[in-house]
Amino acid sequence: MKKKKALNTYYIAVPREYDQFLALILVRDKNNKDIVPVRIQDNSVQAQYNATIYKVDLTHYVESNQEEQLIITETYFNRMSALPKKITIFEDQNVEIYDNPHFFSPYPTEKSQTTYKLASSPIFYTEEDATAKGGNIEYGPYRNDGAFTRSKIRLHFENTRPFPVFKNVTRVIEVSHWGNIAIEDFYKLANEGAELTGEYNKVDFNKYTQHTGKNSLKNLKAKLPYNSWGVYYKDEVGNISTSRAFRDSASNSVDMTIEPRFALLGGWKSNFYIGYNLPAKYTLFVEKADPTNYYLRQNSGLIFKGIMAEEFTIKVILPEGATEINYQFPFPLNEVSEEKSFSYFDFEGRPTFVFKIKNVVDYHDQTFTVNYKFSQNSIIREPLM
Amino acid sequence: LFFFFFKQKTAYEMLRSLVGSEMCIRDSNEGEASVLDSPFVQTLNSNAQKWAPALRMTILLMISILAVVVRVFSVIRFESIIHEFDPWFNYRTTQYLAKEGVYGLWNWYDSESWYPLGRSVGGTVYPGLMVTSASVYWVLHQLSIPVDIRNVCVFLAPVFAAFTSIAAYLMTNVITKRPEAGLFSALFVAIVPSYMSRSVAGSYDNEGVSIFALVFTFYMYLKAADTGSLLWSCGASLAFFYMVSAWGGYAFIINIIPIYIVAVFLSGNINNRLYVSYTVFYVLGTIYAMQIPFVGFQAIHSSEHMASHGVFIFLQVYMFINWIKQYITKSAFKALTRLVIFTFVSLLVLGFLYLTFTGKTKWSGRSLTLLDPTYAKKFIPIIASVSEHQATTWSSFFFDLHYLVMFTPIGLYYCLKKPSEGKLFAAIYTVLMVYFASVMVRLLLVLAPAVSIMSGMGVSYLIRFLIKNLKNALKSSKKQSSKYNVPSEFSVVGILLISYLVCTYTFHANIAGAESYSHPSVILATRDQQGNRLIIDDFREAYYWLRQNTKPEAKIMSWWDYGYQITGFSNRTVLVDNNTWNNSHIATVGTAMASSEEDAYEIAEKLDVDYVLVIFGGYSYYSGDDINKFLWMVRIGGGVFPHIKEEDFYGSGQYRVDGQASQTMLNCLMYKLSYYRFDEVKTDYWKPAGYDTVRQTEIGNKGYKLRRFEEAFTSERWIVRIFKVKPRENRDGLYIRSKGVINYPSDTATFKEGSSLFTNHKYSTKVVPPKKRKTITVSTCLLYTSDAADDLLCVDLGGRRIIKKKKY
Repeated sequence: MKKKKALNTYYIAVPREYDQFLALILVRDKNNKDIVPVRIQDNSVQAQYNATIYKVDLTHYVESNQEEQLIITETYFNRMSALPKKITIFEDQNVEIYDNPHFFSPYPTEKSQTTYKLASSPIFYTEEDATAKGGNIEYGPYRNDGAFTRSKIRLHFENTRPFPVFKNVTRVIEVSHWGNIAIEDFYKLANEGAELTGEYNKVDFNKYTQHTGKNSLKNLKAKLPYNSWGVYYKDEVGNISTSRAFRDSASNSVDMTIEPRFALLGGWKSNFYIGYNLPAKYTLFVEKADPTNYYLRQNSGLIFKGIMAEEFTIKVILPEGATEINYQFPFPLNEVSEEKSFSYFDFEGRPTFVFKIKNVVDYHDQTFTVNYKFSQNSIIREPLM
Repeated sequence: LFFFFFKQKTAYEMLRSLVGSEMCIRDSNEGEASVLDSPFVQTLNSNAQKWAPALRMTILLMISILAVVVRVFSVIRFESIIHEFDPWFNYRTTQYLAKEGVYGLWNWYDSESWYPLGRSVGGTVYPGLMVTSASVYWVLHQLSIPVDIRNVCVFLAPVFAAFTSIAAYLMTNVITKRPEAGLFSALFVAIVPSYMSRSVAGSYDNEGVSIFALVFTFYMYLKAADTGSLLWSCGASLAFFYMVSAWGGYAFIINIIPIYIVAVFLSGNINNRLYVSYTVFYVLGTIYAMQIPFVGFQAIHSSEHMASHGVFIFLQVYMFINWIKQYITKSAFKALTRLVIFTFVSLLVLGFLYLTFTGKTKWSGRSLTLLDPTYAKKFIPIIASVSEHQATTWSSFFFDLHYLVMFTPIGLYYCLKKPSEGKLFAAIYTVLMVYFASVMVRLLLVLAPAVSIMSGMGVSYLIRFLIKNLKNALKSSKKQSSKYNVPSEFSVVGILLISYLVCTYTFHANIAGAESYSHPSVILATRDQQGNRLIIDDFREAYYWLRQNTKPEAKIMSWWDYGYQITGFSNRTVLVDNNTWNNSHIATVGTAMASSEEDAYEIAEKLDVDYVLVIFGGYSYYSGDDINKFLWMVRIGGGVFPHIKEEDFYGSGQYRVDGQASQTMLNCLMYKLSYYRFDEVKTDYWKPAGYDTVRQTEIGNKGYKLRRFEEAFTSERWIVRIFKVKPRENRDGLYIRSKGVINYPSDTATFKEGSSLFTNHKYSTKVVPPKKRKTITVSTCLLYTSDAADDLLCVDLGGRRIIKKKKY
């Protein structure tokens, strides 16, 4: 890309029909820093080109006639849909996806090329400008596209894997200055693959075989922090006995495998809780100069990798008596609110911050900090009662 | 396993020490000058006397703790969960109460049960249990202790068991004035297996609190009768009020106390104290009882209360006569007495007969069963079908009461040897309860406190007697009294033997509590080949599936045992549940299960059923399944819908599922759903495919397809199978009714036989022509483990339903 004068802003366009499925855009410039672009509310452009524009502020200025390499990562969800929509337990799941193979941009593009990596050789693909090599399909190269060039291709291919999605995740982090941080996650899990139609066929479908119900969700793998202890897995009706966890020093985590109460066939749902405790010494820090100033550092991502959460709520419950509360998140939040929660022997209530994030993906697996002031003396108040 | 043994040992050790300390007190209480006049023994004696009250309280506290601890096996080995069937309703109601408050419960019309009728919960429950736990919950929350309502419910019964042992201590104390007898009673009642069976952690049922209420009411009443104090009488009626609010078994109190009054009268010891206590108790108690909406005016007109009315009137008349006695001559008084007694008795009898025959007063089915043990078997299969309503066998007497069965006669002997009013009461209570417990196995529960108190008295009496003998033998020959001349060897052996028996009892109680009564029954546990503990969680798997993956307004048809669990676990609407007040609705479900697929489909359609749930154990050795309960569905269904005949389900004179089973059996809905595609799996390497592990036989109907139902879910080990009721296919409205099968009675067939255009009706039942009646060996049919709602004792079964007098 060649520019006439020094500038540090760049605009990204996303086709409007796909914008609603966009979970995240990240831009990485030569300083190797991830930048989250800001969406621009410009209705005229949107209407004219049927596009949504995002603005990126680069970390430095690019002089005219200089080249700058940007890596743009766009993460979408729900773009693939099962076709046929409903399958029996004996059938394999096929999916289709529509896309624009051109580099969609508000600027003219000299050359662009798109490669689609599919789970299997396609059943159908739009053949115009395409070269297929097994599961990889290349479109282009396209030369000298004007701004906002687009076309539509369709891919239809077999993907027998389940499509797990968390419709909602609520994490409650309860800080105790007696040395423990209790964390409980509530998950609303759904398998959004092709829906099951017809009989369940217990004789043919077994949780432990692969021949039928291939798109069923049988287990999930989670990684908990290395120091977590007292892990539990339950739901609204009690304990679920099908889970395993072990401390893995190689990956520095507690690896947990859970099986839902029943294998989730396409279109089925299940809710569950996972809770664990963390010793406070690894996540709650106190400032040396000012011993009343505390920093709570916690992970802001899901413990399940590769599964998106449509809504993620983090509730941080600080001890009663915490004041001057601040928080820093490495990414923008959708909503923040404050409330009081009551636990054992609380009378004024514990200050509670509720952070809401939409469309949480692996990128959100970062660390956030909550900073507050708390007098060490007030922790002995409750035991005294 | 390790933990279990550990527990057992502690309990055992603790108890042995208790027995030791008991003796200490007993020694001290007597305080006779002993031959062993050494200063050491004297100091010991005086010290023991000084410390006795503290020791007594410590022991009582330890017994209370033991009562709680011994009941939490189920939480340790499984989890904090509500057990069985009825507790699920109580739990759900408690949740509602805790959320919506008392008025909310009052006005709660629960549309999830008894579809399409619904149930007005507020007016049809004994709210005592729910109000108790909700109050505990509210109080704790006020104190900023945010416990979970489920944990309150789970641990309520153990805590009340501790209260019961304290109440038993107090009651025995009032009767015998001997604290050691009280302590023995407390110990016995704390761990008596039959009481434990209903009060382990998680067993959240009415009996959990009402056994305490029962014993406590008796204690208060005895105290009132002892002192003649108004205050104690009021206390007794308040305790009675709590009992009425908690359990239909309050009828025992309102009958035992009048019987006791009559007994005292017959023994000629009636006095003003009894008069005051009974009058106050009766008036206040009846008024209080009427405050419970579910009891209401039944406290006046139901037969269970007649005895209390009669005794009340009788006492008034008797006291009036006694008062008049002071003013008239002896002969006139005699004549007057005769006249009054004659009129009174005849009026009472006539009035009662009049009320009974005009139907103004009614006996509930269960009360009739108690008075005539064969009644239910003859007329009410729904009561007869519940395992708890069976006559008690000797083995269950011994298993549930153990050595108390032996100690009780000693207590009774003691009562008769030195009779007093209190002992008379205890004796009457025990004897009556022995009768009731023999009629119905569940009433062992009410017998348990009686025999515990009796045994406490008996054991303490025996030990005291033996120790006196021992002391006597140790005294110098001059002081020896001739009253206690049992050789000291016998005394020592006797004391050791009693200690041994008591220890064995605690052992047995622990094992019974841990092994037999601590299973939640919604979670099953087994061991795999390596001996690892394996949790079988099929019920929750399927219930949770229903909760998550059916539409919220879906209606589930299942046999009534699972109704409360489905509403509790799955939050879905059910047709029938463990409350049995509408027999014909249950009979409809039974009929559907016993009908052919087509006929069942029609019933299901009429009742808006979306899913049918059956419990099937043939795959995984689970014997409590629907096929084993099926004959009851047939019997109950047939009681209302006479075209369902039990003999049609017998093949070669037996209830069976194999090739020799009758066609009706092989083609009924229950069979087809339970065994759907079961013939394609092998349960055992050596056995043919389709081998039922529970019935130990190969199934008789194989390779069939379902037309109207579709398998929607089957749990991991096949225990729960859920079938979806398919919508009608296009142009499916015209069909022929299977010949000879009368359907739903209210419905006169729209399509007369043969008028249909479609006659290719492959699925119709092959109707077996009624055979000659032959003697059928009634094969064993599993009894319900469920409890036919305690709410029943006062609700009348007989009036509301048609009982076909049918001989089985």
